[in-house]
Amino acid sequence: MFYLILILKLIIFLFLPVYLDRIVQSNKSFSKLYINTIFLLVIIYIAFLTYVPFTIYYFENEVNIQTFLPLYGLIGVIIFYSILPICFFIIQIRKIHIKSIFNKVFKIFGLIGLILTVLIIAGIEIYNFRNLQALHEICYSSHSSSSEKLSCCLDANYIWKEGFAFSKNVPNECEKYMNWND
Amino acid sequence: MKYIKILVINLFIFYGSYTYAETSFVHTKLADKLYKPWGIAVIDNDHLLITQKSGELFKINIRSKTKTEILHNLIVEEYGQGGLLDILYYDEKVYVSYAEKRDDEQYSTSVAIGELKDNSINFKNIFQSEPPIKSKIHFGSRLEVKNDHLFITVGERQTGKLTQEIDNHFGKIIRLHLDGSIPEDNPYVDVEDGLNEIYMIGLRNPQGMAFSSEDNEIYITNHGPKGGDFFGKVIEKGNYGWDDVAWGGTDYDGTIIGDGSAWLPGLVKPIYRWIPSIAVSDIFFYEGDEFKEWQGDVLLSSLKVQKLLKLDYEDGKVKNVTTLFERKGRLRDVEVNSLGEVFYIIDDSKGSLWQLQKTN
Repeated sequence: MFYLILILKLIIFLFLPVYLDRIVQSNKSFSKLYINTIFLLVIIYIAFLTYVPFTIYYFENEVNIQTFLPLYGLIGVIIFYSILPICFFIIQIRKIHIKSIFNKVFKIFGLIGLILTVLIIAGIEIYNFRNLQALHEICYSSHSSSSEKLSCCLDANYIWKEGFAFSKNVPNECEKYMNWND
Repeated sequence: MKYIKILVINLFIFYGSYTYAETSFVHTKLADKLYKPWGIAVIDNDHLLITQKSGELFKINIRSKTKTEILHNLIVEEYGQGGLLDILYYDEKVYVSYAEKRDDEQYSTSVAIGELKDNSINFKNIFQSEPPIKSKIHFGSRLEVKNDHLFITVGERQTGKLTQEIDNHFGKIIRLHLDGSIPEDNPYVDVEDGLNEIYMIGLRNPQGMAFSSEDNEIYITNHGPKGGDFFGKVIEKGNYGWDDVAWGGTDYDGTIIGDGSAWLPGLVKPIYRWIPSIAVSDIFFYEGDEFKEWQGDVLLSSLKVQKLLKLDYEDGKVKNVTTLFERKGRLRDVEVNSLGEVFYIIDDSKGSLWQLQKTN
């Protein structure tokens, strides 16, 4: 199920610019507002992928795979995943006719950007999913004495052999399992 | 105009909730404009010493609220989590821990001793962690004295498994005589390839240490990874197990550390753990008259959740945890003088020293 959702997400992400381009080309009267809204959502998604883990790092000190990048790598990633897709969208949607080689270069870079984005998103999500799977195996092997306990463990944010814990609010039905300090 | 009104209302709501949490105590600022203060030491009932990570040392008169810089001979600069770190005043001697630059950008956790004379100290090194390496994090560095022995915490400096080896000082508790010489009864003195200063192994980044006069024991706090901060006892030749165990935490990317166990047979068990981590910092076993009801309780400062906690520690167990106050800033150190007056520092580039008092 995880892989099905991931593939769908990536297909949408990869083909959205192409799809929007087709809409604009086939229907000149199509609402620019609609196009821009979708465009904005994509940009927010890109921003989410790059900025949010670092925000979490600063405010929560709980980090993710992205933080293994050195600072210059981070700056590069932010520029790459913001500027290049934006270039691609601008060229495609607004149909700015830059003659000669530049139009093609922008499009090629835009496409490379999107493809790399897709590969990196897929890599990060699969990596995180596999880590979670390993933790969930602990739930099945060590915390499955009742279906309620197993369910609590699978929902938990921290899992280890002797217990599990939540980041913030503990669900009422799981509170009785939060005695791992006793 | 509408937005300004909303902003003003929000500010009042925020301020209201902020003061509400403070109603039990008065916080008196004793010094400000401190750059990343790290350690406090009590000289007497009127004076404290404070270190700044960037290398400066100050004497604070808590009655007149005056700050005097203490000149010293150590060459220290801020290096990641390192710099001039903890300070201890014992038997008219001043001990400091710091990140010492050795050869070619290699740093170690080092400890120096000196005497405070005419507002200056001439320090002499008594300990250097081995080997020095190029890592900016996890220096440990707390200092404490028990039975005329100096205890030093040394962090693992991102070396992981090396904390389990006794041929280095990473992730260890060190025990020395007060002059820096090695006690002959240290547990690894007669062990081949073992470093003689080592007293306990298997820690990640122990940034809190205190002596309890009730049971004559030393206690520490240790930073876990993503989850797994703990409060525990220092045990001779004990092993807390890093990084075979992570005390309930995982690595920052979510991968399991070891086999996912919080504890394994043969290892020392922490007394109390925080999952998620709260970024535990220094601790102090309270004794004094200012807060009589706190006798024997542990005051614990935290960085991430910015709280001063009180642990009701009895019979080897933490019976209750109380938040005394929160949201004042990242609390790096808490100390108490012989009158029972409580002092804490906010670790920030615009850091400050405060006294906690009861409301009248």
